[in-house]
Amino acid sequence: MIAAPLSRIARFFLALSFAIIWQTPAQAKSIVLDDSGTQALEPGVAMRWKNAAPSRAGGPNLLVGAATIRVRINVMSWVKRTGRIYLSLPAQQPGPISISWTSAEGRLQSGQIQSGNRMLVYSGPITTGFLEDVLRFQFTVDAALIGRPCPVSFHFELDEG
Amino acid sequence: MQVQLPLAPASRVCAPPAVLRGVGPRLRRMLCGAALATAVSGTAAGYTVTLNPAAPLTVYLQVGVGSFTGDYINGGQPQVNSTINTVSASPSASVIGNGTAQAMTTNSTASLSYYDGYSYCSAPGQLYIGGFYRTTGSTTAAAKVTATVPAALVNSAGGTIPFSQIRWASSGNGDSGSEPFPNGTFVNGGVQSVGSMASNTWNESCWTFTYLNSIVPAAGTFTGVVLYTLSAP
Repeated sequence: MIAAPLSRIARFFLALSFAIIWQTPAQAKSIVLDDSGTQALEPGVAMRWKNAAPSRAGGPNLLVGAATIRVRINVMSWVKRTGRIYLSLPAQQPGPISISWTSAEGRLQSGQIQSGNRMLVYSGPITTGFLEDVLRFQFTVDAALIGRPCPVSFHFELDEG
Repeated sequence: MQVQLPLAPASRVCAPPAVLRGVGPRLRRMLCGAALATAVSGTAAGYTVTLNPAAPLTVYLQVGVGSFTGDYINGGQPQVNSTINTVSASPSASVIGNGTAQAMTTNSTASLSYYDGYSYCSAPGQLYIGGFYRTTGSTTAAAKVTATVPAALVNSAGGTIPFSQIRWASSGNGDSGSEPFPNGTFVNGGVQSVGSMASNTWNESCWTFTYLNSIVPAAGTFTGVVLYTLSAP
């Protein structure tokens, strides 16, 4: 009399626990990549007015600056596997920043990004230990946010699978 | 620029007897694997560039004619123009000193705004004054525009007319509300404020000058030079 209902309850919890277990492998694992071989061709990014004169109403006043960076990403641990590599620009001081870039060698995809986001730069098989390209970056930031030199960090991260 | 965290030697991470003593071989291998994974992921710290505000401060003041390579909204750039314009009145002898204000005119031909080419002032009855002050950072302090005024206009015989006999009214075609360079009257010698510019805004006004004509000077041509200065904080 009591065995049948308990069996149904047991099956319910068993199904529930499977559902929870199956959720875990579906989530992509992001790994921050070693880009210690990356080098900028200029020592810093000279930020200049996007427009020489301001607006009548005092609208946004943007600074823009360009830098050429030779990117060298260590993907040795993922050779003969496939992966998706993103350029990630974490939210950071001094505030909202946007970056756009173009690839000189075509190994990585061109793109643009706002701080707090990431953008796909490579997807596919990884055949060499280092992924290299020369990227021409343009940085854009509100002039009100930077009155003095300001470091900005970004990194590359890989989603396996 | 790249910060690389030190990778601990494997022997030290994997086999510290004091830590792993008494732990079974299987569990010890698992702990070693976990320690290595942590160390490897720690080598990547991202790339840092430094944004340097290279041209942070820009000022432009135009009183009378000025120079731009084109309208601002079309990418025009401010230029240097050393022209000194004049504002003058030539009242007839019959009205001298009767207290009836005399309109003054300028030899400035600047009537269009370099912002967008808009017909802003009405030359020769009005003198254009405008400019901007650009700076980075969160400062909200305004740039000041001052006039350095001699004590008097002087003729060749040494006769004088106080500068306070000249005043101006501020306006602009299509304007409503307050002007960045408001109405005023010259002081008799000294430095006086004639307006201000909030940072990162375009400011402009048209001045209509008037000779007050309340004194009777000697006959002659009286001149004086006023110097306008923009001071950014």
